[in-house]
Amino acid sequence: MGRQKIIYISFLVFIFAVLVIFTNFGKELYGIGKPAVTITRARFPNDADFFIAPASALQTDGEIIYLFFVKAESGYSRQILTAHRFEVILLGTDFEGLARLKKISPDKLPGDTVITSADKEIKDGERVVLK
Amino acid sequence: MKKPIDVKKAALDAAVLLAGFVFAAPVAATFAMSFVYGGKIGMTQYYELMITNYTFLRYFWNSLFYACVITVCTVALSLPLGFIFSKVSIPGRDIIFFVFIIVMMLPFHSTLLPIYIQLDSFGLLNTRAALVLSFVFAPYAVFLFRQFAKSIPDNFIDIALMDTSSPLKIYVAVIIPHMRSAVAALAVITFCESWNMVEQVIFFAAKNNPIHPLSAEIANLPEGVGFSAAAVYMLPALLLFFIFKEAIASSMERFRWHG
Repeated sequence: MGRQKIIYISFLVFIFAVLVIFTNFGKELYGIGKPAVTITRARFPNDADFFIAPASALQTDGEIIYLFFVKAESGYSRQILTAHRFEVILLGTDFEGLARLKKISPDKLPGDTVITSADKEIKDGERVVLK
Repeated sequence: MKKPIDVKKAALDAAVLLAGFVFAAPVAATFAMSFVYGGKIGMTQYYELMITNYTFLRYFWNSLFYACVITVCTVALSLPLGFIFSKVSIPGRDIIFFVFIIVMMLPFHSTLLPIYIQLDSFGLLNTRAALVLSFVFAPYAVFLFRQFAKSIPDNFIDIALMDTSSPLKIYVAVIIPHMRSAVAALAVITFCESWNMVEQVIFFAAKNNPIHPLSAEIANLPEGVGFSAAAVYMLPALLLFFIFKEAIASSMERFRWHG
């Protein structure tokens, strides 16, 4: 068998081995490096210009208060969750730990789910996985 | 003295080079574009393909399964038939072979309905067997093997007949060793053809998505990973061709002389 043929066969075997790995572990590998988050649904009272979310979801950057909404898209193999930062005005909190919030950003909210905790810092537009 | 330039040869070389470029350019472009994602160069497209859209690999393994099974079955069925059509005297042999040639010339679509009715009556529609069976009876494979078997001198078989009267032994000891390059060539051609099957899937297995091969599903992948999916899809067929290129070339050469 020629040297070139051995190289081609080795390359073919290598490709198949890589594909076997991704076939079996692709699902688990997706979570590596992505923030694992817990989420909860925000409430939007009728005829109110505010919404209610857990105060634990709020984060601050100097004087700016913001939280992350989760946008869910149905992908080819899985649901893809993306975190979107939205700045808010804190109107008040109640004894149950819920905050009344008003949205500053003019954009439409991507969904009604907010991130309440994450195991690492989240960037705007970053993909996240559920804990 | 300076050798005069052979214009005819130079023109021919240029034409071959141009044809080669025309054929190779889309393949090269696919591989090059598979490293671009969102305007940036890197492996992101492969990450998106293999990890974010990892279930596409299920179809890849389906493709590999069909291509391997179909290739083995086609060779196993066509090799003895080719031998019979060239070396064994049976009544009506030439008429049957003529029918084979006619079937070979018919486009797939003209035999589609009879195959569909047959598979339906066997209860095989939307099964893996439907996709395999609709492919394995390949008249061109029988034709190719017949032409090769014709090139084997009858003396060989006569000498073998002195040793044994078993046609199977003759077939294994004399015929198969002589047809090795033809087997390799046909295996690669059949593998590539079944690797690219689309119409059979649409007609015979449309309702059973999990058994589809990648060739029928690649269009459903997200747009951003199209090039990397195409590159992964092309690689096995390309490598197989490179591994067996000498066998293909030599079989073509023999086919030209004895065809």
